Amino acid sequence: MIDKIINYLKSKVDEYEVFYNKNNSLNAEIASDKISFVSEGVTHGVAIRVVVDGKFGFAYTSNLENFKDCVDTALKVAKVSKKDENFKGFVKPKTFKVVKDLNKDVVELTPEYIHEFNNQFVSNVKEVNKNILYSIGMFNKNVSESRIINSEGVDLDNKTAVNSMEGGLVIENKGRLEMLEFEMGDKNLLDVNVAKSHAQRLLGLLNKKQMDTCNIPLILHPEALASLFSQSYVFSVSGENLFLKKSKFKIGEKVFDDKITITDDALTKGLFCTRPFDKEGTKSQKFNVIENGVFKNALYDNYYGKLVGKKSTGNAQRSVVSLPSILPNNIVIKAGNVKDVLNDVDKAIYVRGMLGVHTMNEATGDFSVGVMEGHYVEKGKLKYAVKDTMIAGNFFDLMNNVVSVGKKIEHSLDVSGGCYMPEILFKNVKVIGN
Amino acid sequence: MDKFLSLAEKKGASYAEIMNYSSKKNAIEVADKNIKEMSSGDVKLYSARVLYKNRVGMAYSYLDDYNDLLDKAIKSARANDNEADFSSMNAINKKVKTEYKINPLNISLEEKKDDLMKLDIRNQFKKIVSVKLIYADTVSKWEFLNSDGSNIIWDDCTTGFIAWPFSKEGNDMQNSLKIIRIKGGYELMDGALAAVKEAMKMAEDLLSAKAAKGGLFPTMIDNKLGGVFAHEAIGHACEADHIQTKASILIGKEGKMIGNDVVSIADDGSLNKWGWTPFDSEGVKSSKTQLVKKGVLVGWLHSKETAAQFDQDVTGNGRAQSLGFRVIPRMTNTFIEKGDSSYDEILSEIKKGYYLKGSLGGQVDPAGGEFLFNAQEGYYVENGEIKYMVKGVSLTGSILETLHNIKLVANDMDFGHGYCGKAGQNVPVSEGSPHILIENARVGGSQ
Repeated sequence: MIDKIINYLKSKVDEYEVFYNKNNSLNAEIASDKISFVSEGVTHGVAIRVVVDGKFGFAYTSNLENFKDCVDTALKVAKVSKKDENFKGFVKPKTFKVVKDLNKDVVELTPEYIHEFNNQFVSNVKEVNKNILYSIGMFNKNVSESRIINSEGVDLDNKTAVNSMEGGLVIENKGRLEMLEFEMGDKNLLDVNVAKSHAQRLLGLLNKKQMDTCNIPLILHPEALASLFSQSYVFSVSGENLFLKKSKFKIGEKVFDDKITITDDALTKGLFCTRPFDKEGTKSQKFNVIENGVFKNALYDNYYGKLVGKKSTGNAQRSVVSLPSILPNNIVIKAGNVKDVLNDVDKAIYVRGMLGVHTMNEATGDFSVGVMEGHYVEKGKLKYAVKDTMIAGNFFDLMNNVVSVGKKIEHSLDVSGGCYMPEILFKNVKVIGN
Repeated sequence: MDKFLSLAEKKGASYAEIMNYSSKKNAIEVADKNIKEMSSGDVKLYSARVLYKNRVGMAYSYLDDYNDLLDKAIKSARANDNEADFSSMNAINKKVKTEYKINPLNISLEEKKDDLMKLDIRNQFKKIVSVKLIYADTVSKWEFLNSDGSNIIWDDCTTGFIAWPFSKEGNDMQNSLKIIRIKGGYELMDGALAAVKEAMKMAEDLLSAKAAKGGLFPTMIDNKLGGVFAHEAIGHACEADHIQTKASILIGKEGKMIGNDVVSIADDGSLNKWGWTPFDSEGVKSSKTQLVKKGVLVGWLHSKETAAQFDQDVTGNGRAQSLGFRVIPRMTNTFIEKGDSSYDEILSEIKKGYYLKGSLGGQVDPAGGEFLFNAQEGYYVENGEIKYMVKGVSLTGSILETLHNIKLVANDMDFGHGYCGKAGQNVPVSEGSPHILIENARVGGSQ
């Protein structure tokens, strides 16, 4: 079918790009320890971009039989578009070895496997405390096949599979329900033993107390750090936002504390977002975005990379229904040398889960969020879990006020799914409580 | 699709339903007078659900291969631990159509693009440095058949417009988002210019806004933020699946006072707002469901599955984002009902406090009962007078405490229109409220 589309395109237009994607999904929902719903399905679609006299056209369809309509619509869109002087052609082919990173066990995962996994997960949780309930959750398997073909000669295909589980564990304590939210995801089969550590975390949240309003050092767990990064970092390092002068960042300027080095990495084997090429067919790369606090390289897709006289950095992300956009691949923050950042501080607030991060202002970096999973820290020890407490501040100020960086790197699923970050201790944050 | 129903009956399914959804969507995004994205697409999908040996299973595909859909749905049902029972309902044979004045498919892409280009009116504003304008329309058809004999067709039409200007002064950058949406056609764009002006003025005003001081204050919240509170803090906690999974602060509180007696809250999918759902995703007709009556908790929101488990009536709140998604209890149009105070009365009650308007989003922990909303606009109020604008201000607290702290409810009413996210699914909803006064509201700010 794709060949038919290409042939039809060739007869109509010189410059084109076809992106095909097919998703096989298996989803199970969990409620009160049990599998409460399962569904299996397949969706697919094709996105077509054409360039006519320097004008772009874009159309997509999930009805591949009607591909002629879709191509004709793309041509129609091109006709009414404005000439785009900034467009310098689709991605040119480059010879490289496509290393497939596909775990067959994940591809072949069945409803029965999920059923068994959930039973084991729940029994691991109950082993820690029999009163904990796996209140609500989801297990998902996704197998994605994609193909990119363009008029420059690119013709690449890839297949990936991931499985993930997320949800909330709850326990009743003195008439109050405490909940812990968790998520885990991998290209390989998930480790069911992690259930125990989730359960332990929940028990650590009992007998919450409200903190007094104050200014106090902040320690962010890698999950909380990644979730703050999902807003202002993603916004500021985008080559598009740099070009449009929306980003505060300038190449060569110091933007973060000099203890911070960040790599965008789509090459290192085993990382969640590692892939042979991006969604426009550009070979994947690994490069420093921030080096000792200095902004070294922005992230580019094909369009903006060429526009500023550089090249795509392999950061194009897309679905069938939208144009490519710039997103980080694996965000890797370089480990520090501190074994436990808790020991570096007398009093602090330690935060792992936050409420309302998506409401932060990505351009200015201002945030004001509720603490879902957090502890008051004294003399290197977690003293008590906090409730009815908010933290407020500015992302850029925080990143310029780093006290120490932890040694251990942990994976969390924010941004594109591959955040590899340490714990970081920051100088001060405003805590709003009692 | 009748064929699927007969196949399902032969294989032993006690209930079966099949749906087909097809849509055409046009979208244009203009950034700084350049076309950023102009797209046109169509989507077609089949979805089937069965009750097999008292267990629900679902399958979906772009192909109408009914045997394959049935096999996968039955396999899914077998892996389900939970028993379910859909009592059979009266067959509904109905065709509904979303009313519109101008069919968006009759306006050419070129005309839509030209209209959008004209809306970049930044030359009327000094400090606006960048503007994003987005337009989208979707014309769709949903066909639903089930083994009760129902056959429903809904020809739907929605349009939406977003104005998103960025302002700059020195190193300070601010932005403001104004979204208008209707169940209807291209007549939406009659209101686009006013929306752009409002957003641009707001983005400029934010440049001179002060940082808010956090703490406990008497606070008046407007229709839109009040609507968000009704939706996020109460509505979600009334969804029956949250009760079942103990993920609601309202468990065991049915029939009890959960708030001040000036507070009444309802959900009504039959209202002609953005959250209008003549029939939910299970083919159940929508209606008004009272959640809170004069401070007393009186009702839950149900899908067929939860209604059967609770042995209560269906409420028409079984919704799914689209085909291929699970039907779960969802809100439609949720609102705090009118009271008998006025806007002026409420404002005059505030000695030192805030007036918060609109919402930039928020989040709720329905089990612990804590919420956080970021207001779109905030104003510091002193002795009943609005003094100055504040920025980056949020409202947080415990749901139950806040419900008791609602002291006055005005007799005005307005709705906001957006998407509600739950379990990875987004559905269109409206949220409404009169102006209300909250005593001791926890306001967050960076000062």
